[in-house]
Amino acid sequence: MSTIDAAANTNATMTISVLYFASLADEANCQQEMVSVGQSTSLTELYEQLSQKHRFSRPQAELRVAVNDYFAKWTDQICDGDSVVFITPVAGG
Amino acid sequence: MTDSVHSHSMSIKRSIDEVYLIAERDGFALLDVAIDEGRLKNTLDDDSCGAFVCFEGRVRNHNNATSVERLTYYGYEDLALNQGRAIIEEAKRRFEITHAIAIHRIGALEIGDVAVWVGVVSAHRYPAFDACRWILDTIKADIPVWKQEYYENNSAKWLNNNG
Repeated sequence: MSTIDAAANTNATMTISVLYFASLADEANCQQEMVSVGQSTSLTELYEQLSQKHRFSRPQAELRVAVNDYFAKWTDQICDGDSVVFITPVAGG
Repeated sequence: MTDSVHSHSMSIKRSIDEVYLIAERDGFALLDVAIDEGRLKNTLDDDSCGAFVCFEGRVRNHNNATSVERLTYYGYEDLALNQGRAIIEEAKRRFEITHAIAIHRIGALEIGDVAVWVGVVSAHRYPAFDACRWILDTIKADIPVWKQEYYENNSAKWLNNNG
């Protein structure tokens, strides 16, 4: 990418698809939403934004996160078009 | 609590035949109808194996002192399949086993229904016992499945394997 392209992208936003399960779906009162965020938004910042919007009861420390159907690290970068799911403690078996 | 926000996690996207093909190929799948244990056992048949160990996790009628009427499991299918495949691959690295298959059921279950089934075959018995336990424990820790119990007074609660 040229310098000019990089500069042009500074103010760009990316669209992230967020899918909700279990208690987060109850609290968000939806299964899925498309979220528009700044280009360099981290997963932690994304959860913080959505947590304020929906008043999620669980702090990020109690959750895991998945990107594009694989578990991810909270420090992993996300890109335009990614699918993100915040995973509350599981209860299978 | 409305089911509408959970409908995507109460049923699977794939056909039943596809589920059993995935289970045979990758060793793990989610299913939203009764688990056909005979079909899974046949898939595991192997003349080189002297041991077959199987675990069935069934819905019980109580949680600690509280009476449970029924419960519903919810799953994130695509992540569950990816994570389940990794768990079975890891089990084959850790234990001297020939093959393993596990299926977790989602949706509304009654008391006595099988919620999770794990089967392992190996040449000798100890790796099959050990791998079966490890696979079940790892499924409970890492597979994105959630459980809501319903009680006599119509109340419901999200459960947590760590709490």
